[in-house]
Amino acid sequence: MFLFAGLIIAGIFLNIRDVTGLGANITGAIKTGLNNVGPNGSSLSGELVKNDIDSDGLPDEEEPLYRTDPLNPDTDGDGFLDGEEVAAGHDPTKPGPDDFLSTDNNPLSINITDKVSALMTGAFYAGDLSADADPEVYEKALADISVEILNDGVNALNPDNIQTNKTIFSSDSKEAQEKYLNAIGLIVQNIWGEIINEPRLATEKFVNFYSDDAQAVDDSRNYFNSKTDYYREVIAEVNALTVPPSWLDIHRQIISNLQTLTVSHQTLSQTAEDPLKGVFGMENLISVYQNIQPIIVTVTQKIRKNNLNPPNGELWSLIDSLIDGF
Amino acid sequence: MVRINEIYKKILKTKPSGFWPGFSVGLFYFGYIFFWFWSVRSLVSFEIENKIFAFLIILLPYIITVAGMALFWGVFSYSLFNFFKKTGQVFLPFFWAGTFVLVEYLRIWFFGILWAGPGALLGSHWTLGTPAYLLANLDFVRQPAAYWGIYGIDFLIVFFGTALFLLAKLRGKDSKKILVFEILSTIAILFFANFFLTLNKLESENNKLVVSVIQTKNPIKTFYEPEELLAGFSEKNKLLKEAASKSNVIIFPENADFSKTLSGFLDIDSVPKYFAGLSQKNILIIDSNKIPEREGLKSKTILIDSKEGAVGFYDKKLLTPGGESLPYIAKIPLLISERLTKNYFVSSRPTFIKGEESNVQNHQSNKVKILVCSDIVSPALARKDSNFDFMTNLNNLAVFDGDSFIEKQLLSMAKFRAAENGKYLIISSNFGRSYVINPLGKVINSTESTGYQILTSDIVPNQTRTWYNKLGDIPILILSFIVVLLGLKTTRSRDF
Repeated sequence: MFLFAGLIIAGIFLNIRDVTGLGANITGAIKTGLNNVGPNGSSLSGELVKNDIDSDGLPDEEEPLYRTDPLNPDTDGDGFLDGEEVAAGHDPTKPGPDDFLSTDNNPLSINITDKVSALMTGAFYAGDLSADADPEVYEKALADISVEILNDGVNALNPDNIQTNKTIFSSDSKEAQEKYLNAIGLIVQNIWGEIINEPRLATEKFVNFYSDDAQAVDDSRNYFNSKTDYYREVIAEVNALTVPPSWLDIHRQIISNLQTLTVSHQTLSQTAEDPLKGVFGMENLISVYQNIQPIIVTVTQKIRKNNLNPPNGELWSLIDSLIDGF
Repeated sequence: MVRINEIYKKILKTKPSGFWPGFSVGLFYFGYIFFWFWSVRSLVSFEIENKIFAFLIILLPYIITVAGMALFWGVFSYSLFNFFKKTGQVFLPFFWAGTFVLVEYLRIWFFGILWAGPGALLGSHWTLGTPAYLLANLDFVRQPAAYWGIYGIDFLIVFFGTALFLLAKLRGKDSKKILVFEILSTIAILFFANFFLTLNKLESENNKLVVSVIQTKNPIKTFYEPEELLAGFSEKNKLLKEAASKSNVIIFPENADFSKTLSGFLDIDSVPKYFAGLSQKNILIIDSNKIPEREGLKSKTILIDSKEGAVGFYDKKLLTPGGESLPYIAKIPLLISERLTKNYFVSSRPTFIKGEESNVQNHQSNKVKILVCSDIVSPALARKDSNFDFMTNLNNLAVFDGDSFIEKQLLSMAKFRAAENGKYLIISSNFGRSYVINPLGKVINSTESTGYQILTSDIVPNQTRTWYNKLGDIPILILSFIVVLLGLKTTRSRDF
C-alpha cells in the first residue's frame, strides 16, 4: 500500500505534463524487457510469460480468449500491447480509451491494484524501474504509471457513473420554494449528520480490510455496501422532488455530492479486492465533507435573500444564526 | 459492648497483628468513597445490556480499588502497633501523623500504578479519598492549604485526632498538659495561618474579568443522531452569543465539541468570521473537543481569541482509567470476556492518549491554568508551571450521569486546588453544576441546577504565589519523613 501511495505522490511530483503518449514507454519497456533480459541479466521470456510468440505479454493460450492475433503484439493497432490492455481492463481488439473489457463499460469494475501491479512488474522486468535504469526513463515510467492510476481513479470515482433521472421542475413561487426547501432541508440535515459521524466510522471500517479477521472484513464490506444503497435511495428521493428553476444549480450540487458519496462507498466496499481503489474512495469521501459546507451556507443565504420561511427550517435557522453579520 | 470489644481484640491479634483494624476501617471508608463506581454509565455506551455481566464488570474494579486502598491503611495501623514502641506518648501525635502522610502519599501513587494503562501519567495524582477532602467545607481548615496542601491538612487531622485520643485514654497529669498544649497549638497554627492569608487580599478592580461558563448536558456517545447534534449545537450557539455580549472569557465544559461541530457547518474561511462577529472586543473562548489524531483520541482544549483565532491548546494529561484508557490490570480479563461473549466492546473502541504540552496558556496579559475533568484530582498538575493568574476546570460528569456523589468529591478537590494556589477557579460542567471558587477555596457563585445555562461571575486574576504554589508537597513530605525516622528508634511494645 505504501508503495502505491508513494507512486501516486511520485506521479504528482514528477512533471507529468511532459508525459506524452501515455503508456507507450511502458509498452515499449515491456516489449523490450520480455525479449531481452531482466535486471539480473536473466532471460525473462521464459519466466514471465510462457509460450508468447508475439511477446505482447498475453500467453498464446489466452490469445483466442480475447480474439487477438497471436502473431501481432498490438492487434487493434492503438499503440498498446495486447497483454498490457488486458491487464489494464481494456479490450485489445478495439482501439481507443473507452474500450473496457467489462460488458457494462463501468470503470468501477476495473481492478486498479491488479492493473498497477501488472504495469509495475512489466516496467520492472523491462528495466525501466530497475535500480540501474536511466533516471529519465525511470522517472518517466513512474510518471506514466502514476498518471494511469490517477486516470483510473478519477474514472472509477466519477459521479457521472451513477445514473440520475431527469429533473422535475416546479415554479419559482414562494410556496414552491418553501416546499422544496422543506423537503431538501430534511435530506441535507440527515446527510450532514451522516457526514459528521462518518470520518471516524469509515476510517475504522476501512482499516478492518487490512485485518486477518474475515468477519471484520465482511462487516466492513457490508457497511460500505449498505451506505451505497442508502445514498442511492437518497438520490432517488432527491430526484423525485420538484425543483424551482432558481434552485437548479444548488439541486445539482446536492445530487453531485450524493453521487460522490454513493460511488465512494461503492469503491470502498471493494477495498479487500482492490486496495488502491479503496484509498481513492477514502480520499473522495473526505472531499464531500468539504463540499457540503459551502452548499448549506449558500442555501441559507438564498433563503434570507428570497425572504423564505420553510416550515422545517431548524438547520437553516441555525446556519443563519452562524453567518449572521458576515 | 463486650462482644464488640472481643471482636476488636480478635481482629487485632490476627496476624499480621495490627494490620487488620486499619484494613477493616479502610474497607468501609473506601467502599463509601468509591461507591460512585456504581453510577458509571460507560457500560451503556459500551452497549452492555446484560445486567449480571455489567454488575461483574463494575464489581471487579470496585473490589480491587477498595481493597487496594485499604491495604495502605492496614499498613498504617500495623505501623502504629508495631513501631514507635519506645516513644514517649506525647510525641506519638507527631509520629502517627508523619506515618499517615507518607502512607497516604504512597497510596495515592499506588492508585495510579494499580490502574495504569498505556501512556498513563504516574505520580501522586489520584488523591481521591484523602481525609483532607472531608473538611473542604471548613474554611478554617481548608484555607491554610495555601501553605501546606492536602498532606499538611492530613498531618494536622491525624495529629489533632491522636492528641485528643491520647488525652482521653491516658493518665498522668504532665502528659495530659502536653497533649492539651499540642491540641491548642494545632488550633493556634490554623488560626494564624488563616489570619495571614486574609491580610493583603484587597482585590484590584482594574484587573477584573467577567467570566461566563456555558454549562451543557451533552451525553457521551460515539455517534450522535443528526437531530440530537443540531439541538445541542443550537443551544450552545445561542448561549455563546448571549454570553459574548457581557464576558471577557467564556468557558465550555469538556466534551462540548463546539469548534468541531461548527467546522461541520462552516468552511475554514467562515469560522474566523463567526467568532469575530460575536463581540466588538477580544473574547477568550475555551472550548473542549474530542479529536481523533494519528496516535489516538485526544481530549483537546482549544483557546480561541474571537478576533485572532486559535491562540493555544492543551490535551488532557490525567486520563481516567477504564473510561479513557484501558488499564493493564483490566486488559486480560476483558479480552477473555470479549472472546467468550463475542462482544468486542473494548478492543473495538479507540483509546485516548495523553497530552504533553503545558497546561498554562497565555491570552493577552493573562496566564490561564487549564485542568480538564480528572486533572482536578492532582495537586501536582494544578500547580505545575506554577506562574498563572486564574484556573479553569472543564468538567464532564456525563459518564456518571451527573451523579451528585462524585460531583461533591470533585468539588471538594477543586476547592483545595483553588486554596492551594490562591487563584480563582472556574468549573464549567457537562451534566453537573458549574461553580466559581475564590482564591481561598470558597464557592462564590454557582448554577442552581444541571442542564444548558450560563453562569457569569467577576474574577480577579492575580500574580500572587502561595507557599504551596512555590514549593508543593516537598516540605511536608520531608517533615513527615524526618518525624518517622525519629520515631522508628523505639522498640517498646504498646497496648491500648
